[in-house]
Amino acid sequence: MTITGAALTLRAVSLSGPGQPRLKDLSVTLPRGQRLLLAGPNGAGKSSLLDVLSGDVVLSAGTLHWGPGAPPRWADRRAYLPQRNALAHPFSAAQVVALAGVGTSDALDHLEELGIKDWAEQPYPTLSGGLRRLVHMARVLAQLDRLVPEYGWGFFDEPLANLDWRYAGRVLNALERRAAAGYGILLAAHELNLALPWAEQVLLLAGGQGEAFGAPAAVFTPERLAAHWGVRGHFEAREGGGRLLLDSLEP
Amino acid sequence: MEHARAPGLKALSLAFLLAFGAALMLGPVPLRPWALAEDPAAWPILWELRLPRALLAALIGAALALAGALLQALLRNPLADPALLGVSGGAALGAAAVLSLGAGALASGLAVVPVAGAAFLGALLAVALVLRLGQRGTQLDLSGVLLAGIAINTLCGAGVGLLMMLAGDGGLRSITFWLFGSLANAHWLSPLPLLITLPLVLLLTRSWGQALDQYQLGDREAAHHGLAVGRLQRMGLLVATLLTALAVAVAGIIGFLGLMVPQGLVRWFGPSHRHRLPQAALAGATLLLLADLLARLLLAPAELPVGMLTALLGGPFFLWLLRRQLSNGPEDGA
Repeated sequence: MTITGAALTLRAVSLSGPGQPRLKDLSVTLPRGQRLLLAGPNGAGKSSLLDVLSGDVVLSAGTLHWGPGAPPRWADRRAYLPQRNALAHPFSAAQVVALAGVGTSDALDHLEELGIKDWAEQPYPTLSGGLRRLVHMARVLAQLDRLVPEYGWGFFDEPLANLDWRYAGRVLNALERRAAAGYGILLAAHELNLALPWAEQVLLLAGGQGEAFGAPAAVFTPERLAAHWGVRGHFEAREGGGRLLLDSLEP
Repeated sequence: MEHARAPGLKALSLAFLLAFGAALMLGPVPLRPWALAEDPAAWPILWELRLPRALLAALIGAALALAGALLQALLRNPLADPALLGVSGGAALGAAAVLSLGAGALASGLAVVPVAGAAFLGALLAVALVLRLGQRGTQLDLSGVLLAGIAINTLCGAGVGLLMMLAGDGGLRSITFWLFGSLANAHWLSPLPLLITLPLVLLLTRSWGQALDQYQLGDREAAHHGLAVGRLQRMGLLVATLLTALAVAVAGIIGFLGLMVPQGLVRWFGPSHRHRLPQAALAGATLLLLADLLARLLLAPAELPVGMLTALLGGPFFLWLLRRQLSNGPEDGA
């Protein structure tokens, strides 16, 4: 018997910012156990939403509902890979992963899952930008794996940026395994054609507002591509997913 | 790696014991451990001079190195030093104020107490000011703290200069002497404050290793792992301030120890902070014992201020470190 935990529900969530509000009246129910893609043009509010869901910022209005029985501590509810990492201390890659509170062999397993075990002993500051990101990805996955699948959520802000296709695939596979295990997974990405075959549902943000939530084919209409990305394009359904075709950079 | 529990603590303890023994036996009048029983002149030297001084050197070295290790971790800056927070500047101003008033009468003995008290108060006031100025809302801004510390240190330095100009010859001499840092006035009372504080600090911080490691991720990401970042910062800065202020109050400004020791430990034992604080305490104690031994022996029977010696050794080390970091470090520092 599988136990399915509660969904994560946002009701009328708003977040004010300097000048423009970052999020406006956002209501959506995010199911767990699915591969959820958070999409939207630059400045749409993706990172703000992930900050809200991770407890990094306080809501201006609205409520978050984690479901009955959710652990009181944020650290037991979610693992979060923010868009930027501040680490400069010369830990080895494996030591960085172990900061999630796991032992060395567990840390090595997580590096191996992403295909970067060969760099385990190398000092983190000497790694390339893409590899550093992968090390943090491994650390956040290690934290996520310590959470209970019925309540745990993983939020990932652009883990695919600066990765080649092989490593992007590793990251997407790792996230797919967590979703299949029942964890809530929300991935923000601009690499739509990498992420769309992976995604079961897409939450599209624009101007801090929820624009659409549903299957990729339904969300990415030519009208929305023109309105929010300023391009002419269309979604092409294919077996095992689909992809966006860009017809022109002019709308 | 993981099974090597408490790396280096055994070797560091041994080095410490050897240095402590050497500090007791060596000096202008060398003592021989096997001849102590037959030598009636040896006991007063050992009991009244060498033992309190060695104890003081060990405690101050341990306190400064531990404070340095904590500050480098908390400010996420390998070049942070206990002096940076304004501790030494404030202490110097406090001590100079009393010394310029009391002049030569405060050369030794129990008369040191008001100087130490004023130095301690000055240090606490300066740090309180620095932390207050370096605050953004309710949180500490680390670069703000560093800049405020530099400014407060400079202001205190100007104050000390003014007092030196106004002080008479005797006052001038004792201020200058104090500024260099010395263990020459050690007596049985001087180690007491640190003798009580240091074990308590080691007990309090014994499980901080993992937290200090996670803290290196940055405030936000450390908090994602459940670390109480603000609490660790406040407690750590308080502990580092207390240790430095107590050390500076008794012995004046002994520079660079808090910078050198943690740096050396990173090279030897790697970047993890597990066991870093006890390692730093042992290594700092050993190093100051040896530096003070040199200070006593080099020009015997005269002696150098030990602070001058640590600065002489520490200055080049600091520059070497700087060059190394500039030529090897990642360009963007990210």
